[in-house]
Parts: sequence; C-alpha cells; structure tokens
Amino acid sequence: MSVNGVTFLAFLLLAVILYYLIPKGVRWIVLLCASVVFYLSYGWSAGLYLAVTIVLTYAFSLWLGRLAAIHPAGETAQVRKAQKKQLTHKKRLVLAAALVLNFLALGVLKYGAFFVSNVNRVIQSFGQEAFPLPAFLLPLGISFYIFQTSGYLIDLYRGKYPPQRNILRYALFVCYFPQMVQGPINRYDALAPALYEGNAFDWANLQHGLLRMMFGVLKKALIADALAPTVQELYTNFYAYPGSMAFLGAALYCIQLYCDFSGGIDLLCGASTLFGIPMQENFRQPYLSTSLADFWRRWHISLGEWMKDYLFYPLALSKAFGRLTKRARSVLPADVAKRVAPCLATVIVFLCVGIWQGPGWANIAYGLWNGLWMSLGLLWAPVSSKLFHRFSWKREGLFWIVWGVIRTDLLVIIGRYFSNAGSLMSALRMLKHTVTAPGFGSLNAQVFSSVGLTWATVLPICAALAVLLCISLAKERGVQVSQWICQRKWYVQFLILFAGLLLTVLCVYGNTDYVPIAYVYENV
Amino acid sequence: MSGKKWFALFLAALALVFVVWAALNILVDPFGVYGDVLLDWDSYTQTLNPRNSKAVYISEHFDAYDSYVIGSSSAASYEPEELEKYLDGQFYNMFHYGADPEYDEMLVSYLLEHDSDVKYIFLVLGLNEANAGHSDNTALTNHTYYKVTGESPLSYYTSFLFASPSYAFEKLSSWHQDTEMPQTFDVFLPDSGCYDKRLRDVESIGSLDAYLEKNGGDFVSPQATGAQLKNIEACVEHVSAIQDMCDDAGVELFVVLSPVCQQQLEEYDPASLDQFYRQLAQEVDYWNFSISSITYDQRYFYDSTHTRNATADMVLARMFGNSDLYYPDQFGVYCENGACVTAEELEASAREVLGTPHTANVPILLYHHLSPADPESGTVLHPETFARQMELLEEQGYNPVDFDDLIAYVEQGSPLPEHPVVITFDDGYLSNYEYAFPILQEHGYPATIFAIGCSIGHYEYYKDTEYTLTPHFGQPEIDEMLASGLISIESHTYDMHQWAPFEPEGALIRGNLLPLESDTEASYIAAVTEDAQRQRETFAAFGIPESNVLAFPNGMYTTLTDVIAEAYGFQVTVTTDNTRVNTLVQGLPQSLVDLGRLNIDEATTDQDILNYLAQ
Repeated sequence: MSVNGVTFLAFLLLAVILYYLIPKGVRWIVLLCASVVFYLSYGWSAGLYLAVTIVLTYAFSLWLGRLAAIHPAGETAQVRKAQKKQLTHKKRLVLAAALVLNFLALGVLKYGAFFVSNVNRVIQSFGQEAFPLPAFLLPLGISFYIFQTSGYLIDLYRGKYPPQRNILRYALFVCYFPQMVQGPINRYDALAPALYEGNAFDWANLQHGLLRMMFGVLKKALIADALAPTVQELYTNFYAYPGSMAFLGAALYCIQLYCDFSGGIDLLCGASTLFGIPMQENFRQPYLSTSLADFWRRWHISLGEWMKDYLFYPLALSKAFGRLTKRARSVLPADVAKRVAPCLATVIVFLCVGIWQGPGWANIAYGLWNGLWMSLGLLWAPVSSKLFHRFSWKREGLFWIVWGVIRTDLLVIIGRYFSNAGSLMSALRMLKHTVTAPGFGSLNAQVFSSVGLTWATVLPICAALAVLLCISLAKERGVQVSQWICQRKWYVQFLILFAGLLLTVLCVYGNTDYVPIAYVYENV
Repeated sequence: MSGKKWFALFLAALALVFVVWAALNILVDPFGVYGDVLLDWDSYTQTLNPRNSKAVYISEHFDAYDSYVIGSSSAASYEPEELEKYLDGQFYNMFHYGADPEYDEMLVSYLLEHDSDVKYIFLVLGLNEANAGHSDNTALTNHTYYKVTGESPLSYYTSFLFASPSYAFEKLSSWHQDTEMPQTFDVFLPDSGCYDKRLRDVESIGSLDAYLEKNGGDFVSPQATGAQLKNIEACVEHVSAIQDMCDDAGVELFVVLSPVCQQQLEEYDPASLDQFYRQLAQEVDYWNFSISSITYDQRYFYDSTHTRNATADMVLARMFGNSDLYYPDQFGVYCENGACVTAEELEASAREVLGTPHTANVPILLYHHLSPADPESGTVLHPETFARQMELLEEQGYNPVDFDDLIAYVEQGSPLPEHPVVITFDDGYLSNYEYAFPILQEHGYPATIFAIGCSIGHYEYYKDTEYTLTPHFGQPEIDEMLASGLISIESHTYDMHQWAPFEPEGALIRGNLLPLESDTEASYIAAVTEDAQRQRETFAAFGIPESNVLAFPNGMYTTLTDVIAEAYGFQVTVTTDNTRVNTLVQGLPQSLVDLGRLNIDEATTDQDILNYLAQ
C-alpha cells in the first residue's frame, strides 16, 4: 500500500475513526491491527522477517530485563562488586548476542550481494569461479526497525527503563505503521507512553496532523518527484552535458532528497499526530546549517542521535580510545591530542552512516567524506576560535552565517555525488567531469531543456521552493507555521486551506499524470 | 478558532475544491461530454476518445448523415467523400481505437435505433477484429457514450465529472499549441470522422527501399508466426447480428475485409485465416481484400495495420467497378452465398500479379532560358545545345511524356512508354517559344513550361518597374504553343519568385515558397493560397488551362507548402533535386509529390544527362 495513494488515505481514515470509537484502554490494539494490515500489504515474506525480529528482540529484552532485576546480594562489598561485575559481563554477552543476531539479519539481507560480489572480484582475479549473487528480499523499513529494536535493547542494558512484557504492545512499538516506511527511528521511552495510553480525541491534533500531511504530500509531489527525472538524467548521462550540469544535478538531488525524505516524514508524522502520537522529528532546516556538524544535527536527526548515543559515545568513552588519547598526548600537543579519539570515533560513526545508506563503495566513500570533514572541523575548531577572537569576528554575523551555509551546502552537494552516483567510479568520474569540463560557455536553454528543465517545469518548482524557503526561514526564527496559520483570520485560513487542498487534489490524488516515485529511503 | 471550527473550514475548503474540479472538467470538457462550450474542439475530443466523442457528435448531427462506416482504425481510411461517389448516402466514419466487434454491434444498434433514415452501413473488418475480444479497458479514454452502452446517465456524467485534471490541463495546453495542421492531439476531421491526413498524405513516396528506410520501424515482422485468430466465433457472431439488424431495418450492409500488410499477415496461421474467411462467408456476403499484390508493397500502408487512404480508394473503385481509378489485377474477391477463397489461393494470385510492374522511374529535365548570345552565364543554354540534347534523347530511345501521362499512370494505371522522360522549362521565357518550341515540334516531343504568372507577357520590364528583364512570352506565343498540343503551361507561382533588387525597398520579398521569418502559419497559408488564386485567374485570362502541376521556385518548399498545394488542386509538385529518383507507384498519388529534376545548363555534359536518365 503506497502511502501516497488514496487507498492509504482511506485506510488511515478508517483507522482513525476506529481508534477514537473504541475504549481508551484498547485503542493501541487498533494501531497494532492497522500496522499489521499495513505491513502485510507489502507482502507476507516481509512480514515474516519482521515477526522474527520482534520475537527475537522481545526474548532478549526479557532476558536483559531479568538480569537487570537481579541485585547483587553478597555479604561483603567485595563479593557484591564481583557479582555485579559478573552480572554486567553476562548482560553484555546477552546484549552482544542480541545485537549480533539483529545486525546479522540486516547485514545478510542488505549487504549479502555486495559482500559476495567483492569476494567474487578477488577470487576471479585468481582465476576462480564466482559465487552466484544472493538475491534476498529487503523487507520494508528493515534498516529502521533493526536500529530501533537495537536502541531499545541497549537502553535496557543500560537500565534506562524496564522491558515491555506484553509482546503485542512491544510488537506495536516495533511495527507502528507510520514509522515503517522510512523512519524516524523512534525511542521507546519517547514513543511508548503515547502509543499505549489511548489518547483522547483532540481537534488540534486533527488540525496539525492534516496540515502536516498536506505539506508533506505537496513537498514530495511538487518538488521531489518533479525534480527526479532531471536528477536521474544528470546522474546517468552526465557525460552528455557540460560538467557544471553534473554539479547542478548533485545540487538538485540534495533538494529532491530533502523534499522526498522530509516530505514522507511529514506525511507520516502528520498521520501519527491524528492518533495523538508524536514521533521524533527528523529534520530541522538542514540546508540552513552553518557547518557540517550542524548539518548532521539537523539532517536525519533520529539516525544521527542514534549514532551519537549508541555508537559515538560508547566508542569515544571506551577504554581503548582512552588509551589512544594517552598515547596521542605523548606525541602531539595536548590541545590536538585530546581531539584524536573524538575524530576517530567521528570517522567510524560516519563510516557506519555511509554503510547504513546501502551497500556499495560509493556509500562508504560518502560516509568517509562526511567523517573526514567533520574530523577536520574538530581539529580546526581551536584555530578557528583563536582567529575569531584575534580579529573580533562575530560568528552570529550575517556574513559568517551566509558563508557557513554556502560552505556547508557545498560540502553536502559534493558528498551527494557519492551517495547517488551508483558506484564509486561513476561518482569520481562525475566529479572529474565537473572540475575538468565545466563548460559554462555551452550552457544554453537547449541544454537545460534536454534535461527537462523548461520554463514550464522550472517555474512551478521554483514557486514551490520559494514557499518552502519561506516556511524554513520562519521555522528557523522559531515560528511554528501550522500554529501561525491557525492564528490567522478564518478567511485567510480558508484561502490557505483551499489553495493547499486544490493543489493536493488536482496535482496529486486526483491526477493520473502524477505517479508517485518510491521514497528514496523506502528500501534501504 | 477552535479545532472544531477549523475542521469545518477544512471540509468546506475540500468541498469547494471538488466543486472547482468538477467545474474545470465541465468547462474545459476534455472528452466533449458536457457540450464543450468553451473550446468547441471536436477534433481534440475525438482524438482523446473517439468512441465517446463521435457518438456524442453524431447524436447531435443525425440530420446531416444517413450512412456510416463502422470498424476500428483499419476503417479509418474509408473517407465519406469517396464513398459518396458510389453510394447516394451522407456518410460519417464512426471508426474507433481498438478492434472490438462487440462494440461495433452496439454502435450499429444505436445508430439504427436513433437515426430513422439510415441507408448504408459500411462495415470494415481487419484481422484484429477476428483476434481481439471486447475491450475491458475502463479508462476514460475508452469510456463510451451512455446511449450506446445503456449505462445510466448519472453514472456516465459523474465518471467524467471527476476525471483526472491532467486531461483538462492537457487540453488547455494543446489549445495553446494548436496550429492549422493536425498534431498528435487533434488528428480527426470532425465533419467526416476520419483522420486528418493532410500531412501524412503529402509525404513523398518513391522507391520501396527508400520508403522502408524511412518507415521501416512501422513494418516490423512479428516475433512469432503461425498464431491463431482467437476471436473468430465472436467476431462472426457480431457481424451476423449487425446483418440481421440491417436486414430488419431495410439498410444495405457492406462488409469489407480490408487489405492486410505482409508483416501482419505473417503473424497468423493461414489455416486460421481460412477458418475466418469460411465462417464469415457462412453468415454474410463480403468483399475480401485481405491478401493481394499490395499486401507485399508496404507503400500502400501507413504502418503494418493501417492502409493508406489511397488504398481504400482503390478498394472502393474495385467494389463499385470504377475503371477510372487504378487498382491491381486480382484485387479483392467478393464472397457470396457461403462461397469463399482460401488464403493460399489469394496469396498465389497476389504473387502472380506481383510479376507485373506497377511502378515506373521517370526522370525530369529542367531548362530555363535559351540564348545564342550569352550561353556562358547562369542557367542559360545555347539553342544548339538544346537541339543536340533532344537528338540525344531520341538516339538513346527515350520517350518524352507530359505530366498528364504521369498522372494517368498513377491514378488510372494507364501505361507509360518505355524509358519515359519529362522535359520542363522554368519561368516562362520567350526563348522557350523562339528556340525550344521549334525543336520540340521537330521531334514531336511534349514539354511543360512553368510560367511565373506576373511575368507572362512581360517582354521588356520586370513587373510594373523600369527594370529590364529577360523577355517572357505573352498571349500570341501561348496561343500558338498550346494549339500545337505539345506544350503545356503549368504554375511556377504567380509572384513568389521575386527578384529582390527589382522589388520596392522595404517590401517583404518572397523569392521562393519558403515561409519568411516574419510569417506565421496563418499568414504563410494565406500568402500561398492567395498567390495560387491569382495564378489561377491569370492563367484563365490568358486562356491557359487550369494548372495541376506546380514547380517550386528555386525548388524550395516545406511540408506545409505541399499541403497547401495539394489542397489547391496541384496533383504534381516538382523540385530541383537531381538526386531524387522519381519512382511513380500506380494507385499512390503521393508518388507525384516533390518530384526531382535535373537542372541543365551549358556545364551539363551529355554524359551527365545520360547518367541521370539511367537512374
């Protein structure tokens, strides 16, 4: 069931009506049933994978919960310390087993073919026969629910909260349908209360939910999907155009990806709001970031925070990294030495972010591109601070903000050469083509038209982008647009609603010419 | 505002959106369901959904028509104008997209029920009718008029009310791009129900190889052969039902199995074809044109499933015994009283006919001014050279013919002599009379002079100026030449071969028939049409028979020029392209379009001429 279709709207309407019709205590069952129906609409086999993950992680969660409930009861402090250490060791083993199994499933299904193809490349160079490439089904949302369940297990290990003992309630946490298409990666402690408590009907939720859904649908249809053919052409046949067009392709891909990903999140967060269940925000005007670190705090926030909490800190604070810092102090100035461990952790984290995006060396390169720049940023920070202090520059000045935004977006755009080029070689060739043959002189209307950029296509996209930019700037200044709209006079609200609905109905749901493209992160 | 009130506002806005949506579809009316009051563009609505739009159109024009062509797009080439030459009915072509005999039956039933004075039903079948069943396509582009299908009016009108707005947007966008000529979005002639073939039917046709080189993609052999026709029973049943309805209503029914192209024929098992022929013969009398010599000549088809309009004209000529129009031997068999022929028999006779040539290569020579005084300059030729070249033709066994001979060859199938050649002169110089005419008379050779209308009788000056020009012949010369029966005078335009230095300063100069940069399509059509009209009047004033051959000044033209020329009655157009081999095809008037000519001047050697003639 495509979430961009009328069927999904009908399904959602039915689920919302049922949810509020039945007693509060059992409302979560409606959500569970709706989630099962939604997920099974993508096929039974995908459902089977999901069910195995739910049962497996549920079993491990109970085990971890039981271990967490054991309190060392030795007579002496020394005995209790030894018992605690043993218990911690056992918990660690259980968690490790759970995570290994969880990520093994993800690894085999998502990266199996990539791994075998690389093995084949090596053995073929020795004249050996290649292994057949495995073709596993990649269940919808696997990269999201594996991370979500893993985060849950790590939190249990850390004793952040007790495990959910009701397997059906736990299943709902894992497969709550608005998060299944492309996240966000929700945290149990943030999501569970609203998920289980049976929220009372609130007109405000309906209002904000519907507005956000409409915004998301339009963002995807009018910008992301409208740009998709041009981006596809520029990435596929970049050699046929001046190199500057390849850069344009990467820049447009940044816009497409943001509107696609955040549009989908808006639609599904809006849908979740209808049930009174807030999901984690995933974006905060990422292209207005003033540094790459800032960008990653605004882009795919739920993944970034997951990586920070469950990978970066455990790594940076680990004994091994502590030893590394000590060793660095012996050869480097103290100010630099203390940054070596965070830098290395950053590189590893972003390597994982790259791998998370999908199999392929290009994704690994994408991760490294970000990780290395972030690490350089960490190392540069003290120098930068001194410079600002020395010349009395103000970081909040317009020049530095604009410079920061341009510099960051430039790095993001170059990074997107890797994440969308199909292969590392292709990305490198495209980059080379951009630099060595920009061909500014041969840019003309015909070139733009041949990639689908005519006045007729560009003007509506620009108009939509202008609206999006205004909304983003308003949000940046702390204005909640949906609230702002709701505070206008009734006729202004009516006009805005009418315009939005007119576009939604005539350009999206009622228009057979518009065929939604699958979300970029729908199958990662 | 409370959330409750906001939601009420939301619902109101949503309701208004649906009202706007419905209003858009009613006003723009892409399917012509609600009267199409805004754009009144039947050609567009028929192109989008001919089933619905034609039925709607005919329901409003029953008084104008009393006879109907029924069938799928294989019936498209049967033009009412041609049918009306043989039958005293007012025809409308109701053809639709997609073979669907069940729909044909529904349509005939509707027509007989609602049009009280139907005279003829002309049912055209192709092999697709015997292969495809009733279309289950529920798309709006296939949705049919409720009075034909029996659907409830409410269901019919509401299904179009909330049609995808893309249809309305597309119609508005097409309206913006609309031109005089048909485009992919307006290919129908609403008055006749036929395709507007003005562009396709002026595409020059020559040798088969050249045709296939250009259009080979439309004639791809099937991947598999020997398929069975899957819908014979149902197809014959529906045809039988149509006959019963016609009999009951006293309406004359013609059933025609239209010509089939080789590539389509190859797809089916001949035994299956025989079964279709046989079962059809058991139910109705019909004309079987499916396999004939033209099956193997793709030039008679637009593509592997659609016959040319000219081919349909041949079918009608054969059916109604019109000996003035060419059709090949053994073309069409009338199957009556249950008798029929087999595919094998048809193929054998087609192969036999293929042994007889139905094409001819005709080179055309082009001369201009002849002068003994200044033989070196430009296109001027010494009269002695001309005389020698005429002797050369005679020595080499070439037989000069005129354009009427070519037209007769193509249209009536009249034979041409061996090694035909056409002699032409451009511009209408006096020297053609003074030097060429006597030589031609000596040989008894016919020739054609393409005269510029505004220059006829201008012996000294260019039009109304004081600029001197090479003398052009006038009334006495015209009278004498025409009286000889050897010389025909045809059009080189009235005034579209202007000489810029002699024209008033700042005036728009039309040195040839190419559109000017400042021309719109409409202004160009108006200019060319007006010029043709003035030429016609001038010729009439000089006692020159109406011209049906046009030589493009400087040999330059566009497709639109051809369309205008065809519409104005020019059956032949000639260029100055000496690489073009003029292959005339009997039955295809398009083979007379844009013929090439060899321009001859003093630099042209005898060998050049012989090489050209031998092409």
